[in-house]
Amino acid sequence: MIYLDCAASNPIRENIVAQMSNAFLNDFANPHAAHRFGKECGKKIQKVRDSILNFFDLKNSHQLMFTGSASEANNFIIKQYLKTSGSILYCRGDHPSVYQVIDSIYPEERRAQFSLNQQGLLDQKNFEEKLNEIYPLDLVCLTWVNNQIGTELDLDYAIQTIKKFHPKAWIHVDGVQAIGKSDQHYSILKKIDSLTISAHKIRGPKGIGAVLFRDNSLFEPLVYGGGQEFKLRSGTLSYPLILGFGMAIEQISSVQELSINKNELIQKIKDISDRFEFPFYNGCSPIVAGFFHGVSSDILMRHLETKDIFISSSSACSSKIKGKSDLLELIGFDQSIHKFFFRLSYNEDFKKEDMALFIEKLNDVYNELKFLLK
Amino acid sequence: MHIILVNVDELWLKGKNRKMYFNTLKKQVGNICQQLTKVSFRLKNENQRIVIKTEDENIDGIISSLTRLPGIYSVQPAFEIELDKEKISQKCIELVDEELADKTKMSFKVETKRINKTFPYRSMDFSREVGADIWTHFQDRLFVRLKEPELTINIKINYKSAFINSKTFYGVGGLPVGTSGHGITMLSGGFDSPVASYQMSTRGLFQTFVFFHAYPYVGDEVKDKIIELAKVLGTYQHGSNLYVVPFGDIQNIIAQNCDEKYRTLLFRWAMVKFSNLLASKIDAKAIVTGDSLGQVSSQTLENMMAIDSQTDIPILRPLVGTHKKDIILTSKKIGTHDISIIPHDDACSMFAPAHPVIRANMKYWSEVTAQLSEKLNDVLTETLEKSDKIYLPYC
Repeated sequence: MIYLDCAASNPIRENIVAQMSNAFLNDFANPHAAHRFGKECGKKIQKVRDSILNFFDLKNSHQLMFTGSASEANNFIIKQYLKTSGSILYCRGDHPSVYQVIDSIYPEERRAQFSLNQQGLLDQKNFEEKLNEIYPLDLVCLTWVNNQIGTELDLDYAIQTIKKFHPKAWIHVDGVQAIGKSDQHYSILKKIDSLTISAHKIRGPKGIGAVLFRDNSLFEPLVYGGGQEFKLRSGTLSYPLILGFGMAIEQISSVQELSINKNELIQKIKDISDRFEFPFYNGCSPIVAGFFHGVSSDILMRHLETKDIFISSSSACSSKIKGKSDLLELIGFDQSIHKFFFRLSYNEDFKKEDMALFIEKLNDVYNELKFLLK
Repeated sequence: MHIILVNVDELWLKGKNRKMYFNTLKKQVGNICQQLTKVSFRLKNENQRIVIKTEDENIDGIISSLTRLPGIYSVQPAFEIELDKEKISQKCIELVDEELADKTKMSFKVETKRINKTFPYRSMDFSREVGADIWTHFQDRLFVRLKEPELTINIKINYKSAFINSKTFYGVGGLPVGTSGHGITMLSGGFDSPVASYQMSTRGLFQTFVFFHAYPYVGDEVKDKIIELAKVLGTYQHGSNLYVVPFGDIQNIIAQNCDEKYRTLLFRWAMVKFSNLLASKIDAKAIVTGDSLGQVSSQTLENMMAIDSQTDIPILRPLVGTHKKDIILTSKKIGTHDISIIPHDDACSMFAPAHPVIRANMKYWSEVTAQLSEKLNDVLTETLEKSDKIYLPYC
């Protein structure tokens, strides 16, 4: 199998599975129980909590709350401003667990959006214009690395600019695709107010995410109940999942450890046919997004899957307009080509030989589909 | 004790064959009751109808299934009462009470049929007497109307008892499934083929369904949609099957070996060829399609002729003279409209050339089909082996 959908889910590390199995079997007490067994489990959780905070060097400024997913974590922060009256600044290119939430729960007058340029990067002029127009600004949501096109936000610039206009606005960063995939240093995170992360994107288990945030006594619970997670998110914590999360963080590989050269991969694909177009800015994240002008990308995807190769295509035929994407519309691509959009995302296990094999098979698929191309 | 009267449809036309048709239908009715009742039931022939007697409370399911079983004209839940005028009137009063509910006024009539000529009343007299009893009970809230009243109370005087019913559920009619033979129905995700199938069901054709899945050109959504459609169509049959046939490779071979204008027509040809192969294995003697004359390029006279020249078994096209709007109306009636309307990837349109041939050139047609036949012979057999067979329950 050649798995090129790591941005959707990154295969879990074997040693993590082994430790988690052990924890499921042996550390089964409720970590919130009063007896010694429960307390030991509780301590183990605290250890992971601290280690993650330390990894980002946020132990002294931020708290960490575990959630079932990064989507849940995003929801938690975004919902905190329902009772205030200022604006929320975000982008249509964000993950749906950011922009759909804001669209659904805030009235139009409180919502403000900034845009991306033709390469998928922050449109700086537009960003500054928006910051200038809005008053007051309660919350800004920033996507560090875009999950669909892999472009990266210059966090330094963004944070400085926001603080220039609105020093009190809460800065939230969706870091789900960025951890281990960016070369910006984590020290920048001291300047932000909250960060969401997800375990299964960094080769940990599914079912656990977290939000790191500055202490805020005004925050309201996401889930009421037994009072776990500082009374903000009740529900019994899963120690095995948290352990897996902690281990994934410790073993994060950096972009330097990726085995292939992204530009080389892109060039090799383009060599197959000039119908492959890669218009987005190519940073260091292992996400390659582009268009295959000819047939809708789900056909490309299915042909590749018959060869045991998995890529990402968002074209579901049951939607009225095939492949319609808010992000692509925002950047300015005509709806008629949205269905040609595809994405490849790899990890450090994708070696040169795998790339060579992938190119060979992609070439075969291209030849099989040639006669259909208009 | 619940009674369901099952009135048969066209069987009275069948003369000497009537017994065979009737027994087939009775067996199918029995199967349905067997599936749907938790307690025992009995079936009886009672002059030109089947009478079901069961203690099971849930007869709504049986009635619903029976209204979809071809060969049945109508289904009437009924009550069996002693041959006593007072008791009969009493039951009628109960039924009227139920129907009347909180209406202030309602029209009604009583209709009596008697096969028992020893019964002391004549039919019309009995209707009048019982009608009078009913009216006396409800007085001003009821009035008699002989033509199309809101409520008709039917009384059937048999030898040992009377059946009384007030509700009639109409069935799809026609001939019992299988009495007209076995055909293969080619299903697509559109409106037409399901309606064609339904019509053939009412003519007593037992159908095996076939869907050609153009994976990897299309995904599984269209397959799921077809399975939903087939399940609905299966309720108008009596235990049929759907074959999901992987068709992508065949389409590929055809597309690489023909003039692109003929692609779509040749796909149809390959489907018919496959259906012929399947027919020989499962003893089917016809193919059913949703073709309607002139709708799309492959449905012109010349193109139909081209396809027909290549099949050993006849191709039945029940919609060949049907207007699209009538097809859509029927699809709503039979419950396939809302499934057909779901958008899906259509492999045919993906492969469709800019100018598909409207009048096939028979010379080219003979050549290309001969060549492709050679290439596809083994492929078709392999494809049949790789096809998935899905059973479609009838209730």
